Amino acid sequence: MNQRPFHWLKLRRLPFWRGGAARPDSAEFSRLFDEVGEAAGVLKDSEAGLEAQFLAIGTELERMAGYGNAFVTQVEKLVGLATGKDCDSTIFNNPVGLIERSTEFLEDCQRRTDALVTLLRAYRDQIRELLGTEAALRRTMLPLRFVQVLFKVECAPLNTEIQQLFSSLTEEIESLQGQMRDIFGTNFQKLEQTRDSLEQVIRQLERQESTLRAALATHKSRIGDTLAELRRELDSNQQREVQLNHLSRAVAREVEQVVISLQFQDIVHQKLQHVTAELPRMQARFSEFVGARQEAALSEPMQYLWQSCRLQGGQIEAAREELLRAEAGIKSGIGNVLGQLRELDSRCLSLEEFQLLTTSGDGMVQVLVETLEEVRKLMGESVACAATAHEMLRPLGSLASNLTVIARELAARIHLFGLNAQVQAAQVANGTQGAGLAILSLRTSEICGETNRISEQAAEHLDAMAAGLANCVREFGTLRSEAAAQESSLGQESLAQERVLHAFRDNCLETLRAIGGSLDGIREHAHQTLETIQFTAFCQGILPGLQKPLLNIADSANRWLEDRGCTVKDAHLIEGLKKDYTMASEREVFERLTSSGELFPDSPNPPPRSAEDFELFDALPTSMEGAEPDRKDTGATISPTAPVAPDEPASNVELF
Amino acid sequence: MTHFSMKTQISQEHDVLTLRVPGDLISTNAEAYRTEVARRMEGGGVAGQDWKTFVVDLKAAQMVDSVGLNLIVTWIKWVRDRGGKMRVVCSGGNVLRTFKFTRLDKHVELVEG
Repeated sequence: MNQRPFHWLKLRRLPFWRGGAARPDSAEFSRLFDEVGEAAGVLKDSEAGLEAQFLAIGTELERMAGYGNAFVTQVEKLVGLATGKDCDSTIFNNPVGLIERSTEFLEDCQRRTDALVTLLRAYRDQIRELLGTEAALRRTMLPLRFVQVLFKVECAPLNTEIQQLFSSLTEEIESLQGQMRDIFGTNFQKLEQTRDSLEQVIRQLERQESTLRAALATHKSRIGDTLAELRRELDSNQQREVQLNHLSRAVAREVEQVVISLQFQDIVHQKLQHVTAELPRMQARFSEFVGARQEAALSEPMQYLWQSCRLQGGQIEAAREELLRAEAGIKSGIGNVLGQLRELDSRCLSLEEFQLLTTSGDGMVQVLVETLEEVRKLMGESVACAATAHEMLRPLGSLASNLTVIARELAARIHLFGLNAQVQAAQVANGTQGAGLAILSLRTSEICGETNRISEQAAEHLDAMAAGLANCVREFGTLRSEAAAQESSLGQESLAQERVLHAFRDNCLETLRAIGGSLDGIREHAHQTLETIQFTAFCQGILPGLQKPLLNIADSANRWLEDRGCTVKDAHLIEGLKKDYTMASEREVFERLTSSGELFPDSPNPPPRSAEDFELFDALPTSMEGAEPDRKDTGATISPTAPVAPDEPASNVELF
Repeated sequence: MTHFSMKTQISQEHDVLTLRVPGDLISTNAEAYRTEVARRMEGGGVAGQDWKTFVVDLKAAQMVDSVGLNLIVTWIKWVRDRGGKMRVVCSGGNVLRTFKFTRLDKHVELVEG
């Protein structure tokens, strides 16, 4: 409000008494008005400083409130992330599902490999048996050597032709023995190599099976534990969410309260403006007093001065109380904000469980990422193992088949040899001479039959083994290709899931960093506000500086009036003074003074602000208009304002 | 993938092996560091030399993202398995906060440099 400067010096030039007795008390009033003028000048200058201070604090608080609002939003986001509200709730479920599917596949591979290993062990045992067959064959064919000698003995007395016949038979026997040695020597040696290869494959598969089994058990257990923990954390996050939201909103509310406390500057400013506006009127009344020509005209301006100075002193006191209350409110509010930030730090944001779920280096995200990596590695090892087994077994299948063919050929030739011997013996049969040959031929045929039986049996075993090994090779081939396909699919899918998990953790980290930034911002501006706020000097120096001369004028006026026996109960005068008071708290001071006559009631606590002050602040013109009929209604009979309950200001604040 | 010269970035003095990361440790370069450090430590270079403390110097880093953290965790485990100690040096700010938010400061010696 622009007020015309109050020209106190004019008072000095006024004639104190025109045409009557000198008025010595005018000098005292004049000196007091000088003091008022000086103090009003200081007040005006200081008000500018105070306003600048309010503006600085307002800026700090505005920034603090900005951080407070951002903080609430960030906390809500973090809570949303941790409880799976904001993000896709399958963020953990997808990788877990992938790990479970891959684990199931690996377990299936493990079962199939187990079955194949069992088969390979059986083939290994069969080879051992076949290797035993070699010795049996040798034992079976050993008598042929003696038969050969006996044939020579039996043929000796016979003619040359028969001798040659059986000689060729014995040569065939020798050849057969040689071939037998070669075939069994070479092929059973290969069979031994096959057995060794099988042993090697079995050992490798057993080793891998053991590693895979242990790794799968570990992963399943780890994933199981992690999932259980996830469920626990999600449950407890519901409660934590309530705590976090409650605390973060409490911080924002406190910041808001602090901002509201600051808004009392307008109320104070308005009160002081009313005081300043009254000063020229007092000057005018004092001029009337000084210029009065009749004794009767002296009393009225003096009454006015007495009442007005008391009232303005009261308003200054009320403004001082408002300021002190605002300072206390801001400081207390900031103290609460800082306390709640500490609470948030210790109870919510630093919670290990919360970090475990979102960002921790040994938490949910990390476990899933590592498990995905390890499952991928296991799948790779499984593929490599299946490929190695397949490559190692493949030649074994064909080796077994060759051996079967050779064994069958051998058996057939042995069979023919036996039959030939019998036929030749029958042809040369001649009484007692041929009887020996017949016995030898029969024995030869029996030996050949036995050899044939053993060879056939070996061939059957070899056939079965060859077929089985071929199946094993095929199965390993299938396993290999399925595992390779699974590995490829897992590779792509798991990398995608890892990216999602990393993005989630980055998001959480970013939110936590933003929360940290907001908390720092709130702290910084809170401390800055505490450093800036300096209302005490204004309340203890400037305002009393103006209040004191005004009250002195009131005292002097009172003495002047008492000396002349004047009573100050002029309703018209009081009503005139009242009309400028538009604020509820101003009217309250006014009514207290005019009804009790006491300037400062003996109350330990200053009266709380009326709700109407806030209404005025919010919508000043409307309230001012609304206040006018009220003043008219009250008329000369001023009723005291109803006392306001001490807890009402809180609800008044809610009006904002 | 970012290319960089590792020769000047891994050094050993007495029993302290130091990896100096010249910038951020993030998804675009983490894999290169993983591969190169593994190669140098297990396949040649500093491998075989006695060291007890592995220092990761992140003073030049303004940021470590989730993939970078994953790599740090891998190194922590790797060093722990070998009975060594790990120390991370950072210049404060974001990197320090990140280590605190992820509780990795409880698993490594964190030094503000």
